[in-house]
Amino acid sequence: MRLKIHAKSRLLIALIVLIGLAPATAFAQTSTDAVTVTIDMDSASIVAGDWITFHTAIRNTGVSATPPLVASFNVASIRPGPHVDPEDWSPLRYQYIDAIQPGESVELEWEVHTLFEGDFAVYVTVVSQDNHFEPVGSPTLRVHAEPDNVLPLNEVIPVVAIVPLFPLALLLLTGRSKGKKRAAK
Amino acid sequence: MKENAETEVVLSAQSLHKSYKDMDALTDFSFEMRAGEIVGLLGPNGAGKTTAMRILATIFPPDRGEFSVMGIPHTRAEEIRAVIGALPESMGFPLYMTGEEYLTYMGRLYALSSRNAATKARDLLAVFGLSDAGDARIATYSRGMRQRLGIARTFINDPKLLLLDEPTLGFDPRGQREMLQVVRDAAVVNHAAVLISSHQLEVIEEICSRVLIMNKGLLIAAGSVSDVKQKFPVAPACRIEVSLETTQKALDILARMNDVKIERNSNRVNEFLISLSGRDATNSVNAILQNLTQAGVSIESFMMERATLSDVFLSMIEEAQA
Amino acid sequence: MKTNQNQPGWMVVLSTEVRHIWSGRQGPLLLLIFSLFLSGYITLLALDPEMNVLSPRKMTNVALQTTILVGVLVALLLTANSVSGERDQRSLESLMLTPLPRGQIAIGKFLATLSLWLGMIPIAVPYIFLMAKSAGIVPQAITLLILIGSLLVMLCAGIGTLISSLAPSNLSSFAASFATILLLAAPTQLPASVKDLPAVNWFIALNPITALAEYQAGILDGAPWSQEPGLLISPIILLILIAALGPSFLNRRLSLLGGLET
Repeated sequence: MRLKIHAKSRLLIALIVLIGLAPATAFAQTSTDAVTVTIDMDSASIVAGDWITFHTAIRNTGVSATPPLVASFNVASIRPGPHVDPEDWSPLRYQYIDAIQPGESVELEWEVHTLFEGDFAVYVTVVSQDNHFEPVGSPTLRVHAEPDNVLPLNEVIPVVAIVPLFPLALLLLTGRSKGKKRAAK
Repeated sequence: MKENAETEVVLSAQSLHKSYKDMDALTDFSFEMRAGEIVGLLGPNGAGKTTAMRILATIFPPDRGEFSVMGIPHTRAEEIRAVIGALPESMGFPLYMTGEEYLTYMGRLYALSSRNAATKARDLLAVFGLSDAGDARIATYSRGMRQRLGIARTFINDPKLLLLDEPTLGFDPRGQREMLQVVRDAAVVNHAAVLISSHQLEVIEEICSRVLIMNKGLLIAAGSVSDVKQKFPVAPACRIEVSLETTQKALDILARMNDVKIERNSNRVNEFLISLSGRDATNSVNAILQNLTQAGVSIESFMMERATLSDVFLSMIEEAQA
Repeated sequence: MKTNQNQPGWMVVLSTEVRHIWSGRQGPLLLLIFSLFLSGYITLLALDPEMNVLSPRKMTNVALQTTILVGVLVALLLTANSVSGERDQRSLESLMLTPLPRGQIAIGKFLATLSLWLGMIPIAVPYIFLMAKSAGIVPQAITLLILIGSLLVMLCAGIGTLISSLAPSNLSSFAASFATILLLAAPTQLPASVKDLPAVNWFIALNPITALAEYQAGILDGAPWSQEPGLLISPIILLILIAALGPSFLNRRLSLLGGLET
């Protein structure tokens, strides 16, 4: 059985839905349109263990001041591998920002310590401190970290094999000379 | 009076006092020693002998009182140690060293050059019968050998004062005799003063011209062995040996007599040591002999026993504790 | 007090103890254990990079800290036994009966212990060179190994010798020595956020072990040698105090039975 809905009723329903959703869409619309996050680098190719410094600019493009904001640093490994903990990768996981006036922007500096080799996506998200709008994310900074190869095996093996031979030789020499001391009759 | 090498005062101690926590280990300890003297230091366990020795060897400072060695006051301990040789009781050694290495090391610490110290070490090893063991590790030495080594060590610096605490421990009778001869030579030939502490009273009696007797930290007697014996007379005793057949008869007669205390010889059933506690020892002895002969007991030998230092010492200690 | 024209008493003790350490297998055995430890450590790092998530500079710093820590522990093993060991085996009395001032007994034994560290330096150099090469900080790392390592080993060996001279037994000497050094070294493991607190900052500067660790880390991170020289003050002052006052203190206090009573 088809439900027949009159045109007037349809209009009324649409109005109710619009009114109900208005606050949410207005905020979402406000966060998405009013706050933008930009980043000054889009890629970096380094050796694992190196530090990268980048900057993000958070701009209020809306007509009213933003609430106080929180910017958080995030990093994800693009490929499966060792667990990436953002707290290990940056000394400053969160930065707290006062309200930004319309048309103003705030620049933040971030330091990242690439702990191991791999491909990573680094990005910054911004939320309001009163949790009233959805997170806004920066573009991704793609980081490629080469292995550091601090200890190549072809250099390590001679050292670890040869160095202990010296005290061993000394031990054997002193063992022989000590053997000359005899027991009392 | 001008002192000569034989009579110079080597050690002079006045009113030495030492206490540990609540206990007085040494109280008012005073005496003097001259060059060439051998003095015995006696006392039961805990009397304070080792404390006295260690104070005189500058191991411990006295709490009160003073002493001097060769005129050097005890406050100049390092200078005193340069002229004394001391053998502590139960001395330990660095077991990894050989006997020769140890004596050479000690010699170098006494200001000898390496060469002189090595020569002295070999000489001392020869004197004390350790030449063959000189290049063996001390860890392999017997108790007696370690004691010899310890005594050898006391002579490394040709000391003017020797302090020997239980020097005969670990020696067999022959070794003991040899050690005593060395001590005599040190006193007679080198004019060293020697203070010996020992539980072996027969050793003290044999070698010492004077004895000091201690008990509970106090000096209770001092003097020549004969002076000490006179001062602390012991009940006279005689030793009688009778024929085997008349042993029981003799025992019965002696048991009935007053003022007679009998001690049996466990190795010889027919020999008795009889202590006479009466006033007149001569009359007591006459009475014993008369009673035995009248009863037909065959007396095979009779001897009056001289009171030993051991007897005197025990008597003294019992009196002090009473 | 000199015991003869050529050699003061402490030197006689030193030469005898050095001979015992090096010809008696103790020294070579400890060096062998030290080199095997470093070989194992470096091999593990080379085979499994995930074991080390630090930059080459920080890795060099950790390797240097580990090397010096092992050097300190080995030195402590010897010094903690130096005088109290003689006391335990009853051979201290024969040393005390010599004309040697008591403090010189301790000096000789302390210096003999340092000979082991002198043997450990050439063993450690190839390993540190390997670690520091990729970070380009080989001269700094080797210099720190020698300077900071020697300073720390001397400090800890000095503390160990003092404790051993006063401890009534070997067991108490070992316990007190290791506890003291571990307590002094523990703050090096504090997280950076705690280290930044003002009170903790002061403690780190005053504590010679943490001060030297901070100075070392700074140099390996690229700081100039002249940066934060204040961190060197407490270790140098403590070493001077131990060297200047230790022997005369022990002249009066080193006793047959140990403890502070004479």
